Amino acid sequence: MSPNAVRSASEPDPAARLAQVMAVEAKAPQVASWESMATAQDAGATAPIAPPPGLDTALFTSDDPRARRDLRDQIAGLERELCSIVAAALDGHGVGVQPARGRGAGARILSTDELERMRDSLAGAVQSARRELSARAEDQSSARALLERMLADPSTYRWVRVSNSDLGEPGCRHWHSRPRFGLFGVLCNWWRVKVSSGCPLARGRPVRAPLIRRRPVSELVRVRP
Amino acid sequence: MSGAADRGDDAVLEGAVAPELAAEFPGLRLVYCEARVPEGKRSSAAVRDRLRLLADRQAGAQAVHLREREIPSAYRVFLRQVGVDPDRDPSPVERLMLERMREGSLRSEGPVSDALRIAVVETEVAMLALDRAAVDGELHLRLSGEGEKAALGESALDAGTIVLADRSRALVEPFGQPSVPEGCSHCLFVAVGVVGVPAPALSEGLWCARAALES
Repeated sequence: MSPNAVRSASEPDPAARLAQVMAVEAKAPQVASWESMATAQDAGATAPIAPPPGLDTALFTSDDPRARRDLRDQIAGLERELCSIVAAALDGHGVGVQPARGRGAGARILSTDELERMRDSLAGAVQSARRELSARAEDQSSARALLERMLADPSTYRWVRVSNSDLGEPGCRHWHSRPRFGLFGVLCNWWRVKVSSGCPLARGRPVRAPLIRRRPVSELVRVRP
Repeated sequence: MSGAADRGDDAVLEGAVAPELAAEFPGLRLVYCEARVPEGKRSSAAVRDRLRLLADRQAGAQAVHLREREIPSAYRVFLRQVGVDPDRDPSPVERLMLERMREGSLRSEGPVSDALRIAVVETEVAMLALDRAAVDGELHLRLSGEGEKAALGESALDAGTIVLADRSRALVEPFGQPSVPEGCSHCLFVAVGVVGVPAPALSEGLWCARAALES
């Protein structure tokens, strides 16, 4: 408020109002330990109670230990559910959950508000993970149906390729609808599904003896006596 | 540190938990033991082989499903409950698993570090190692005060952070990444337990670390 503004008689004097608030806060009981705070709460104290030194949270304004315990139990259940969904999807990426404080902040006792925000954030993450898993399952089901149709009628699905990753299975296998005998097959409408087994084995191919034994030159050249 | 000397080096000691922490997290526990560090900068061949075998046993599927196992899941839940994102700041066992996936192996970094890694991977318990000479008195878990710094950690602490402390100062955050003391004569292996972590697992972790260090 500008110092030059005209203040009406009904408006309270800001300085007097500040003094009134400070007087109320000065009368609030100062509690130095957890035990005395619990005693004060049990006695039905209504004024805000100061936290123990070093515990700078909103814990003591309107917090109830039972509410915090319930919220922690809910967070535990949601976290376990989220872990099982992520593991089921074989997706190692972390799900974005808003932490209670900024990144890199240390572990501490969270207030009820912070626990509620954490719980809501986790619940949202569980829902989005479920949706993603469900969408992925639908895509895999569609890919399996496509593969069956492709195997039944390759010429309808020309050049279509379906891989193991589309089906949600491990490995590098591909099914590819290709023409027989190249261009001739395209002209004659001869199509087939070629299955590619993917990457070679890590241990390499076994060494086999050659089908045609090559004789050394000395055996081929006959020396006439 | 007089406690371990009075009871003998073989004792597993239980550290105190501050009342406000114990009231909020009834299952929070702290146990630690002392171990003698052998001379030399490299671990023995047996320890290096054991580390290599442990790394070979861990594959991608184990890494993904690690979060569903009893003990890692308990730590993940606790970290969420104290405002830490376990996907950004994972527990020690998940951190080692990520390192194994990225590096392809568990590198040998010294006797204390290797013993700690073996114990964490074998038992999945959250553990860390401290230089015994840097610890004054008994260890306990408490909340940090205003403007307090971690003596063995990397950064300043916000007020109210859960810290591992001795008689005179805050030492380190229990789930942080403190530097492993190498080159000291005696070290302390510390294990932090939460709800869902069986008590015998904590002791087993300490014994495993000490046995690996002294092998």
